Amino acid sequence: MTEPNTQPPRPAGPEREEILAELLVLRFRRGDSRAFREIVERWEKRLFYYLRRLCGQEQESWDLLQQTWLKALRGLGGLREPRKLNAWLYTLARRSAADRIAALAAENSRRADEAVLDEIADDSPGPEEFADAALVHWGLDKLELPQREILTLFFLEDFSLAEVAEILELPLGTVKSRLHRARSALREVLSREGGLR
Amino acid sequence: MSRERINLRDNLLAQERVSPELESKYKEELNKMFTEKLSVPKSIGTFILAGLRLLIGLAEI
Repeated sequence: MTEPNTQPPRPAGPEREEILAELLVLRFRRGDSRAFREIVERWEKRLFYYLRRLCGQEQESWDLLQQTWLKALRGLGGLREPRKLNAWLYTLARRSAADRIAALAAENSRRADEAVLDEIADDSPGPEEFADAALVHWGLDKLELPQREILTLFFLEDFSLAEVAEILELPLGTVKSRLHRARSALREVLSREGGLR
Repeated sequence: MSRERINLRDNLLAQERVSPELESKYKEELNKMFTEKLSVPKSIGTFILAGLRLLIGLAEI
């Protein structure tokens, strides 16, 4: 007979990430400077990848990442929902980029014209469909900025559509349509040109 | 996030090619920022603590 498991269940997946984020923020607020370094180490690569998909230039991406950390350092003490640290960091990164990248600013002004498709299934991209990282990495750069951006967010993080809507400052319906279009565009690029590489 | 998605993300991040020079310049700037911004509250805290110790020490005399 096996012993009954008396250990409380360990949180898994997104919940664990959120708890970890909250702990880091609380440690930072208590004056633990190592907490901020841990935040940087944990998110640095992902934010750099995201920023580089936005602006293309490496030097500029490093600069924007640095600006993002500066903003984070200033704002972390007042972050209202520490569990949302992940989405908040992407929001800061995007705002840093929007201040400097004309294409992103132009994209922001065009978004009002974007048609929203009705009745779209909530189908975030999964590994079943896009499993080849090298191909996806190559394909992302072939997409237009809005599609590249939304897919990058979905490939890097386990964000809900609502969180993506918050980061992109877009209505939920627009996020759904954009994701749907972006998936189709990537699929098309990979099937049309991917095989020719 | 499922194991497959984490793998995909890690593999995607591994595709990114960066210039070691630019990366080390960024790290240098970041360290400078850490030293300037993160060490300030510590210095202030140390200063306040030293002041309190001095006051307590004076009161004991």
